[in-house]
Amino acid sequence: MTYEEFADSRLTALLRYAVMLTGDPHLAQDLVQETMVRVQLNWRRVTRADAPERYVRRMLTNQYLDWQRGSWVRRVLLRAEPDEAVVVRVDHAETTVERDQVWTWLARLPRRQRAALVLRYYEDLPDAEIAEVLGCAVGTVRSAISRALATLRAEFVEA
Amino acid sequence: MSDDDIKVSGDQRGATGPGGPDPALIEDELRAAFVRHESLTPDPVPLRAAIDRRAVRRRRLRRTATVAGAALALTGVLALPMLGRTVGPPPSVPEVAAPPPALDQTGPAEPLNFLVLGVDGGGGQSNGHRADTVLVVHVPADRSRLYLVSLPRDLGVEVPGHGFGKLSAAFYLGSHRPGHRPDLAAGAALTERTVTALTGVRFDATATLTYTGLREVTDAVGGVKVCLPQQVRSYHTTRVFPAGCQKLDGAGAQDLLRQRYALAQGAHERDRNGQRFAEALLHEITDPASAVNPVRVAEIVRALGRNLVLDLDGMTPAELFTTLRAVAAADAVGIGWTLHPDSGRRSGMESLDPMLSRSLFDAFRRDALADWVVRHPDRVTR
Repeated sequence: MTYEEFADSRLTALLRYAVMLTGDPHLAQDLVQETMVRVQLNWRRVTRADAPERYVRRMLTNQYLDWQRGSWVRRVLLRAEPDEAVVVRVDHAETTVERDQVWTWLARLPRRQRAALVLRYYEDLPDAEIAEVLGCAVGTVRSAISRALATLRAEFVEA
Repeated sequence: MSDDDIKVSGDQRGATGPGGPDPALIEDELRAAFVRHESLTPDPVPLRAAIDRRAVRRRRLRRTATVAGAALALTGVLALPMLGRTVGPPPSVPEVAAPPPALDQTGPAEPLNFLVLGVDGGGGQSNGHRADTVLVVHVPADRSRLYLVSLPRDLGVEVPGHGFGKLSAAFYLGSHRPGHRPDLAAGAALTERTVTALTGVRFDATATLTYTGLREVTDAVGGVKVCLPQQVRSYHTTRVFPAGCQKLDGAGAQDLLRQRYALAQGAHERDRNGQRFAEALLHEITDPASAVNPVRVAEIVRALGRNLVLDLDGMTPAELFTTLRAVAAADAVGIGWTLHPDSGRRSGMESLDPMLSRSLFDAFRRDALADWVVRHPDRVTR
């Protein structure tokens, strides 16, 4: 598989996944861009992995989890450049979904918990694979998810 | 992402706890929320192009870092035909002679440190030579990659036997001989001792190239194409080098690389121009169409004459070349400085962050730069 073929077939899916992780189309774009640049530069290493797609998803997830406050700020500054003629397609749906409560609650979760939720309830991965993507034990995945669900349930009760 | 994947039911898993809505309900809400927000997914087409552009840029940056390493490889290439000929006088300062590098084919390799100097002046001028570019190159024992640290020319340092001064002046102090031609090898030796005193790093080889040498190499390869991110106006000749790519002859190259007053970041920006130039030069020389053209190499070597001085400290040029060729295959890691806030303590001089430089040079000595780089990712200019 070439990098081009990979990007052709997987880029949209990665973007969707990044949107679920970040909750924001701009951040999702930055996240995917940063990851895919690295994928392209290290393509040979990516293809050497057993499952390149899973490998890339893991890269992207790590990138998301590692985004420290510092690099986050730098990222925002970079965005301020009138660089890269990327226009985010804003759907009318955005205005509706901004009022979406579950979405707002998700934004308050720790990143690792949110990633675990996305992997289970959006990507429909079994816990063992989630653990692999997050680089932790299966038990850790389960407890992260149950803690996240407990937080959401509490929000539900309050709302 | 996995529209066609088999859905794994999560309904029976998840949290159980007292109170609140049914866990299954929350899970359904979550699934629904994710699906609803698929509409936020941006268009992949422009992103795809942005990724490609950025990858090209990053690849280029990476190459720029390889460059300084490449400049050294270049001296290696140039050294090859000189095999069996002594280049420059033997080191005049025996007390700093580093232990002979173990290039024993069977035993484990030793880490190597090189010092590469770019020197101004020359051409019979009376104002002597100063080292404008001082580059410390580290090759780890495992030969995995090159590490490059450029020391600022205006760094305030203790020059052995001459007191406190600028790093660039050490070359002058060493090479200057009233009434005689400057002794470049002695200048290089004093600079080497100065850097060793500053860093504790001992060098296995030192290479010195003058601007005259640079000009002659450039002409010998028929000009070099350099790409500049912004316009540079020469302080010396008022020539204007526009932003973008241009082919420079020797005189043009020399002029460009002397500029620092007009540049936003002074000498640091010039270092980067130097890297851009070296990259382009190496490109010319290793161009597959002409790469192993011995006539051309001989011409370049002849052009250099006394403008390239190598102090290999017991290593043969062939050994140096072999080592460099092996390492040059991997990406080089460039390490950058932020200058210490109280720089300017003495007029016109810069100082290094004491903590950072101590740990960096310690890593040089212990051959632990790989670790150091991991701990200081923000210092990597790659």
